[in-house]
Amino acid sequence: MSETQKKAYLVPNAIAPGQTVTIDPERCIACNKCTTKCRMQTVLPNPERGKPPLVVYPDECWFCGLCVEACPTSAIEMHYPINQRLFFKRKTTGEIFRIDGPNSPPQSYFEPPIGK
Amino acid sequence: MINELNYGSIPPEWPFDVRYGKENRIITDVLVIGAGMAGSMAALMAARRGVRVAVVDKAPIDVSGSGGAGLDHYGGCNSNPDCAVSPEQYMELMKDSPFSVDHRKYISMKGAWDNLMELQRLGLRFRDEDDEFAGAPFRDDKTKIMYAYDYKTKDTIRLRGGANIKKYMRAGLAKEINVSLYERVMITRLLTEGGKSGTRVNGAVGFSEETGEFNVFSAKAVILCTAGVSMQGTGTWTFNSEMFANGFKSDPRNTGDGLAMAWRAGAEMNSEEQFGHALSVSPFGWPWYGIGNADNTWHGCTIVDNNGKEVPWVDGLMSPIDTVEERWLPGKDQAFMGFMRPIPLFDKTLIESGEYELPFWADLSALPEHERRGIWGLMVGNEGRTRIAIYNYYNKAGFNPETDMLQCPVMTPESFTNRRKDWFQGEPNMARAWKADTLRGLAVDWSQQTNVPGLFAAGAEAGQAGATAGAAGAYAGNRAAEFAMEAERIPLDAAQVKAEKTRVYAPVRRVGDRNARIGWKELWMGLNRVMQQDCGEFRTEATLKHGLMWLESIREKEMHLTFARNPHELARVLECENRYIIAEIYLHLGLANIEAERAGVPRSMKLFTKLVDGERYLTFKEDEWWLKPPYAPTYLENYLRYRAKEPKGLEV
Repeated sequence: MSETQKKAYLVPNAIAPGQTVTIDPERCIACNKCTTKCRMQTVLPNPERGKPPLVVYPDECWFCGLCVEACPTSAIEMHYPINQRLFFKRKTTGEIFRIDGPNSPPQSYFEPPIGK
Repeated sequence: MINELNYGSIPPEWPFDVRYGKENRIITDVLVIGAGMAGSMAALMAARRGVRVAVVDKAPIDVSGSGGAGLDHYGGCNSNPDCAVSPEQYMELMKDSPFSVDHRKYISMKGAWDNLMELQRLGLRFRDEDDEFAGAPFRDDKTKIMYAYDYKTKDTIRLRGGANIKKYMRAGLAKEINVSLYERVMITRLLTEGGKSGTRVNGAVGFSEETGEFNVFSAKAVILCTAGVSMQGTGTWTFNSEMFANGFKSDPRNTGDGLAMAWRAGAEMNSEEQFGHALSVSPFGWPWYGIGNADNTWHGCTIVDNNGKEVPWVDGLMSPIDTVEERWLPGKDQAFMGFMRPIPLFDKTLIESGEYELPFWADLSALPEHERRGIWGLMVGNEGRTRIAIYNYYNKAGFNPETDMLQCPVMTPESFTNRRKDWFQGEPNMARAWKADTLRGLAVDWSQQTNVPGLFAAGAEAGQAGATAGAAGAYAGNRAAEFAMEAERIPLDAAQVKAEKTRVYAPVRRVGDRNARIGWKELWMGLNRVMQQDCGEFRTEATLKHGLMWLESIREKEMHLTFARNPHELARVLECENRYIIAEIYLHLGLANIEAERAGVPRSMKLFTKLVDGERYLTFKEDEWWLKPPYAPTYLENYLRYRAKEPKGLEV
């Protein structure tokens, strides 16, 4: 799409937040494991076999992240909406970053969570 | 990437075969409704007594319920052999406290340790077996158990691996041959002898959220282990229509189904009027455990102001404390910490005067390594919705607990001194929801049975929310199995089944009716408006009655215009219909409290209310009836008496 486009469409409003969960179609193997972990049915199997699951109800996401954990190919990501991303401050430098903000520093803490 | 479903075209078909109305008949001895922390253990223990058990959950059991996304600490474990305050001592110490303590609390507390041992057998490796915390003050080097909050009392155990607690429970259930699991099935109504309310419960009906099929369960005993609507609220006063689940601490599908069903079946509710601002029910809070604070999962974290000045701490009785270590010890005049934990900043004038500047920041880096990892890794990392959604997410976003401080929410100065409640959730004052804590769950006797014969309740639904709900479930599972072993099967009432089937599928039948333009969200909003207006901060007999009239008016018009285009929407509509029943109960209880006040019933009395065949009955019962005849005079005696039939070696 570009500003020279000639057509616009009658479409419903986008849901806010629209991107609670996104699925990378390149990585997804359509195993539907994520859909079996979603209590809200935010993610549902694609009626077309072999296609990535559909994020049908992003507005109902509980942000539990269990779909992300279930994915064997790391194809699925959870995103907090804008109003859920707050700040952290680097003590040594005084720099302020926002979670998933414009200038996030690279990951520097790699300890896994404790216990399986 | 924008979700293409937002952009119209022809909608994809529902991914499961739709078979609305197809009837499946299931015959069982014990039916467990809701398989969270309590229900899973109830089903497991009932099954081990040899009876047939059917377990129904509207979500997948390995992730369902408020513990389904993880659990970091197992509180109320006073039956732990190393705990300094026994359950009996706890009951004595707490008998005059504002926190609700009764036999239900005792049952869950008394069985907590055995339940934890059962969880360990199921595969939960909660001890520090890799010696990551060797030498830490919260770790017992002999047992490798790690404690939280009050290191002296040892009543709360940290759950290493608690992120997966429900997976172990489901795996345990799947191994039992006499257990059958029904997942993504929403139970909509309890069935009763002759189809009347107040008579013996003999089953339940519900539908599949995938295929829409109708399941009819015949059972000798039913255990309700659905969520406790009173504890966390479910958007009765407010919700956010486009991200409603976000701010909820507990399962957003905690919609009061169990209480609504029990109410319709004639069950008594335990009530204490406590209206007030919401605790964790606002959809406008921050990600749970994902904001800077110093309580609960983040307990003990150093807090600094916007200029890096450390905020002072006080103990549970407001005496200043100087060392970091004291944040995890009871105050010098406290028997034990309980919910009166040490807190940072006790005086709002310190903020008002500008001495401490907002925003505050939670400084994990200022803690000793074991406490830092105890919070970031052990607690955040296992607590519900933290492993992926906070721990991994924040780490990936560059947050480093060794160098970085997490922002605390900006609130009014009062909110910081309001012991834990506000700060911990970060709900902005202007969006803070109203709520009623009137319902304390279903009233149950010493066998966890309600006044409706054959209907048992355990866990949050019976006022036993929290980590030890499983212990209550285990106890109730045994009692229900014993009941089922002796009880006759009562035939189902065909008319009752048919009437419920008609009600359940009504929203589906309305699709295509051009007048049926109401979706479940609008139905929910209507309810919110009634409660905001008529059951808010200022309530009178007239407003409460007006509220009841208003609910009825919506039921007569808009509820009959609400559609469901697939099994998902059908579940949401029916959940909303349950919300209307919950609202009705709140309004009735408000009226009951006014009546009680007029009748001069002292506040110490417990008030119960129930519905029989559409008529409201109120009964006032004396406090601590569970320690009066026919019951034994002490908690311990009752507990032992009611467990006497359990075969040796089967004890949980």
